[in-house]
Amino acid sequence: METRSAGFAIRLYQLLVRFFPYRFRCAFESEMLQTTEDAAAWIERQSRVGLMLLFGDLALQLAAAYLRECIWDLRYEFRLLIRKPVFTFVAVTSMSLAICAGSSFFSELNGTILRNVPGVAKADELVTLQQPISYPAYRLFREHKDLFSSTGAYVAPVPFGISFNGHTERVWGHLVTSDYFSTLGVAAEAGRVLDRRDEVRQGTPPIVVSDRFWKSNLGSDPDVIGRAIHINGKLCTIVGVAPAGFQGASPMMFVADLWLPVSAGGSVAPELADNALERPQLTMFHFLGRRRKGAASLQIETALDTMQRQMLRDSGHPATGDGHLLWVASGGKLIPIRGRELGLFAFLPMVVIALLLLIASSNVVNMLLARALDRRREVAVQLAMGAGRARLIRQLIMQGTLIAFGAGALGFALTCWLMHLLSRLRLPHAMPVRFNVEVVWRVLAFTIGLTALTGLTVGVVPAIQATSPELVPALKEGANLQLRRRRAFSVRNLLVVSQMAGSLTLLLLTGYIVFGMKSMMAGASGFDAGYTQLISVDPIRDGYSASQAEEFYPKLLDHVKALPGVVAATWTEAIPMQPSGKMTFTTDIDGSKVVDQATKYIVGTDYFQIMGIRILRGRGFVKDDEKGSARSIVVSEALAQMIWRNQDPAGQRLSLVNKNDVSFGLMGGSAFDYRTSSPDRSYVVVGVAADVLETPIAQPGPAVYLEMTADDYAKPPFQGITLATRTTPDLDAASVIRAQIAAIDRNLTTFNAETMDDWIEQVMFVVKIGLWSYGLMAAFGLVLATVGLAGVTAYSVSSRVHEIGIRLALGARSQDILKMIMAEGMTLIVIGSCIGSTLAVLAMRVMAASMDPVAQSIQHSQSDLRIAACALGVLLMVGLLACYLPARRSGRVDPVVALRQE
Amino acid sequence: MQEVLDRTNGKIRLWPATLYGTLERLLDEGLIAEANRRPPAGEDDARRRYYRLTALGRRVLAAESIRLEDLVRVIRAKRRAAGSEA
Repeated sequence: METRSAGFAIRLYQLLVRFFPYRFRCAFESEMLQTTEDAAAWIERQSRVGLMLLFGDLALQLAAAYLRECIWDLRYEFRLLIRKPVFTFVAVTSMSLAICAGSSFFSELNGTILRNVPGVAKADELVTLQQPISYPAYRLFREHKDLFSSTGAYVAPVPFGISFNGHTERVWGHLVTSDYFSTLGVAAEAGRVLDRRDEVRQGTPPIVVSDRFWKSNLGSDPDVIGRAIHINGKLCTIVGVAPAGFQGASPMMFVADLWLPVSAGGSVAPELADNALERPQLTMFHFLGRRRKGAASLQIETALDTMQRQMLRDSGHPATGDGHLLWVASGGKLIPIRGRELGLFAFLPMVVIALLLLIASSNVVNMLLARALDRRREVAVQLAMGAGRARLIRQLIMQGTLIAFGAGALGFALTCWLMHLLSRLRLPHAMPVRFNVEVVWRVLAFTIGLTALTGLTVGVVPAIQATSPELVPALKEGANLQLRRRRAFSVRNLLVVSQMAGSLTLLLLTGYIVFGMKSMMAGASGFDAGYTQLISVDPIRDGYSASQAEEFYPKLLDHVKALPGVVAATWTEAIPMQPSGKMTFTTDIDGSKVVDQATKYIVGTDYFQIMGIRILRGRGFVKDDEKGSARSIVVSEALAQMIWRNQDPAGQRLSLVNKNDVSFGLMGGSAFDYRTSSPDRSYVVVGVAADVLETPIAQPGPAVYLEMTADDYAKPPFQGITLATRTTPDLDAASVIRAQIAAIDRNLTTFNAETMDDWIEQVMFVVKIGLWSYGLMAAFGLVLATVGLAGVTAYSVSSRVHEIGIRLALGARSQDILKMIMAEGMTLIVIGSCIGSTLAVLAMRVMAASMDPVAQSIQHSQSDLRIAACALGVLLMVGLLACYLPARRSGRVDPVVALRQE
Repeated sequence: MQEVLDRTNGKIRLWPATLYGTLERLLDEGLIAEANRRPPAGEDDARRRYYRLTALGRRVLAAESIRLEDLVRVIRAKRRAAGSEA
């Protein structure tokens, strides 16, 4: 090596040696420099590899030296934290709650709108439409080869009755077009997937089953390909098994274990009967497209929307309004959302979480500042002994980092637990909505990042403040002597007041809504269905023909009605509080046509009696209405009020229009009603029924009740048809009714067997979770506010030790000092409470004005002063405790210390 | 550095950073301490520092030698057993 480059290497080495920690340099720097100089000749002889080894060794040792220092710091700060268990506990707990909130939210995002549909290839290329479309529309869209490289469509949710080994099981699946699998990019695990071959029907219809179904129901049979199996009573052939993990294009909303091509026809799937693939009005298909490179969402949206409009115009039902008919959404994610909505879904909550974290962090910063004041002398001594400021800041940051990582571990554990609970949540719905938000590595990474960030935030400020004292005064006895400025409006106090106000607002709001909702549910649900047993059947999907089904329903009903202990029984499609489709109706009032929408319930003759729904005027249904030719309809009170006001609705006529807006949405997905395609029909109002809650949180809207007819029996909805039986209290209704069903047909599948009480419990469970989360937020707010107050009080005591000492020396008793400190805290609490109460009243007014359920529930509770008293009491108690604990220290100040400082 | 290389017949090269890093650790753990005794003036270099093993260091050294000897013995025995089986 040349001498010049050897000289450069030596100089570089000497420079790098200076980066070693101070302590190391004190001990060894000169020797290391000497060694390098001595080795100059040797370095000159070295090849490039030798030099790299030399510098590599230096880098390694440098890292090791710093790591050793960090470990010392951590050990030191850890010991200090252990010595202050209350401080540590409070800081860690409050921060872990904030971290848990952040991680939980991210976990939900990750499990829903950020997660790809398992099993599909290149999920980012997939698009879907938020609205279901008709098959003719799909055929049109499919031709757009410039936008899509491939397209598919499917009907979901579709229940199938699968018979094997002598019994029938109800399994959910999709009716798919031939290019469904190729569009998703899914290949078969065994056999083949459905493809172009299956477009034309030949022989027995082919089906593909999921890996889960193959393993759990077919016993992992290796010879499953080619095996014949009965679907809805018709013979089908299994041609393939889908790969493990693949559960359809929408595994969260519409999980699928079985795929049947649409070419199978109406004889296998009742959804496809009546020429379903040719009717432009029947919108039951979910669209799937794999977009070409460069095709923007907006371009696709515009093109498809234009086509849809054109098609509706051609079919004689032009779309009303100028708004978009179709919205393009991400097709490869578990919850399809539009690109523009992502900001709303992800960004807004992120800001809230960030604020929450900021508040929690600032509380801990307050507490750390108080501690930094206590540690001033220690830090000053360290500085005086020659410790570098950067070195001390690093050491103090370790304190924040330790707290943050304790909080991160606790917060992550809490998140895991919460998400586990959430994943087990079963939504009260006939179709199996699977909500899987289990914590995965991405959430862990997010939590670690969040924790590190908070640790740094929390550590830096107090560290900088603590290491900047002028040495001389800090080392003197009067270290903490500070001139009091006006502190009433310090940021610290403002923060605590706003936290107090915020948490009281939350507490009051939650209290009033929760208690209001309880009393509302107790009295005003609109139905009373005690001792009512529900049990659902679906004979058509068990292979019955329409005529067999028509025969079966009245027969079973007669058998059940004849049982001892049965008060009344009826067949019904709807049950209270189960989502039901909307329907558009028209009626003539004083010569002018009125068009409006109402929820449609298809029910049996004795439905009102069994569900305890009062008939306010006219009559309920009678046996003759079942024929369908009578065209009787019962309307809800809300609808009667809305349309006829004070007139008697009995005898008025209503026309139901079949439009394509009959589907109902559920969390971004929608379920269709495949039967709403018959021509418009006119009905005569025979009675008015009391309003029934549609969901626990919404005011009952207008509703119409239609009597079930033979046609409804032949085309059951996806939730099957339910036998509702009201019995005497002592009857084990479920088993008795099952025995009756078995007596008629041993192989008939029964499902969703539960009592009305169970059903209501399920529905309310979701509401309870919502309310609980509000309650948790209020509790969280309270914890934050308390920690904030404790921090401020502690800071106040620490910074005024000197003043307190003088007061004590001048004759003040320790109770007086305690009172003085507590009075400051109390002032903050009182101001916070006043602002909080005002805010709560305002918020309730605003919410009540904009949200009906809130107005409804608050109506029942607003006069109850006990709620306000309780919330205020809780806040006051917790606040007092938060003041008292740190304020106690003021009594322990030694007056001698104060005198010595003078 | 040079001495280590010489003493190990050129097998171990102790890089300077490792050398001083190790010295620091040994000092921290109390296994070595700076020695007061220096070699005769003729052989001494004023810039040099000398270290001696502490009592604890001696015990750790002995224990470590035994541990390594045992390890070697076990491995040899295993290899011999494997050799005789083959």
